[in-house]
Amino acid sequence: MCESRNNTLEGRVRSRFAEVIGVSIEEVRPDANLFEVYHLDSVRALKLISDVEVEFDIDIEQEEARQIRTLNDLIDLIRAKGAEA
Amino acid sequence: MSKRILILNSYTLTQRPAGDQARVCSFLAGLTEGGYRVDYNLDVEVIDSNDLAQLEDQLVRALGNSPDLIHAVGTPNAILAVRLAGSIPIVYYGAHPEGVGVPECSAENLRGVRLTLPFTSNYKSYRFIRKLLPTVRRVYVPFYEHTVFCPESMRQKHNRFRERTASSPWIPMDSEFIGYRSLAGLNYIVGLDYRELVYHDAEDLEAALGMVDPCQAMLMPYNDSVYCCDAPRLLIRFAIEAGIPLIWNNNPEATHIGALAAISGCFEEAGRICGLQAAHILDTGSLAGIESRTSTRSWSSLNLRRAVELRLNFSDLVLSYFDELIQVAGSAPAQGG
Repeated sequence: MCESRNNTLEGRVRSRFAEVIGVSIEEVRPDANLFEVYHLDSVRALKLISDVEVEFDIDIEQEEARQIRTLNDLIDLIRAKGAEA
Repeated sequence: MSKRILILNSYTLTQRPAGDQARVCSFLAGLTEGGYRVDYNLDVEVIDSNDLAQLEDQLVRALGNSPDLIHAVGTPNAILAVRLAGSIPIVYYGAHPEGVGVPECSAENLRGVRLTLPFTSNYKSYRFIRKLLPTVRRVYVPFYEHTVFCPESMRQKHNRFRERTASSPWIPMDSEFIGYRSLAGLNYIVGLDYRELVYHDAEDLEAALGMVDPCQAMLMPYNDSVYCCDAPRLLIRFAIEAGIPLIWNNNPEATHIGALAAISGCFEEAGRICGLQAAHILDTGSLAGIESRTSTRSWSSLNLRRAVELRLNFSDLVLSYFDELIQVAGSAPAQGG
């Protein structure tokens, strides 16, 4: 089940995020506030954005990145840019 | 009546005379555009040295000729001119990573162009390194301790690190002793490991290079290393002998002495702007109305001969990033000036 979940867009983003903050993917809640719940700092936030840009071959503008509060926000943004798993 | 200009030129890595270098030529081109031509209404004296003590001695002597204006190439030279030139107008271009040298370069008699070091100014630019060198995982960045680019606080941190660590003087990116935190962060963001060194002199640099693990490594010096006599030669020689890529940050000449790549601010643009500003100052006798500017333009050079030696193959997309493609073997850089 984990395997198939990781191949979805949501699974891949969760996996990336888990790597960046150093937790297991099971601990990652897509609806949680990244900064309040996971204490994501600005450098790790940029690391996440950069990893996602490379993985999905998209470009995320600074202003778009500023709007992201949860992984669901990021997933929606990736979808809006036409990227799919 | 002719105006007299003094040019403080550094960053020379090749044997090319200063007058033939893009830095000096572009400044003179800007002056010409502004109505000043050498030997017509302009006398130019060029001091060309990579030795700050020598530059200082020659500047003191040249100030006796009462120049109307000084053009300083690079932040350390601008600071030297500010310190010694009194109220003589100065135009300069130079970089200020993490704001170093900004207070000194805010003098009332100084204007010019701040270079943003475009390659390392943000992660999107810097990420190009992963396309250029996909197998590289670790970036070694040396800093010479005797320029403004190694602030006292950074020097002290590195000294404390050396006192506590008997082995390698290269500081790992997660250490509290790192000087350039933004550079460490940039490497982390693009998935690279960062190692930082502050070296005292060429001998110290050579010893530290001996502790570089060449596996999946690259060297990325900046122009502070130009001011350490013999450091450029040691860096290039080590990169060639160890079989690792060297990307020189902010010096287009580096590929001409054997670096794989040089990614730089656009000295031609900065020099031309400085020349135009200088012409305006000479016209009006005043710096009023002239604002310092920021240049974000980049200029890059790739040495295909080094690429072959390193068994690197580049896509057309990667090659198209570079303004200049050359084929040059490693050679001894100019010494001290």
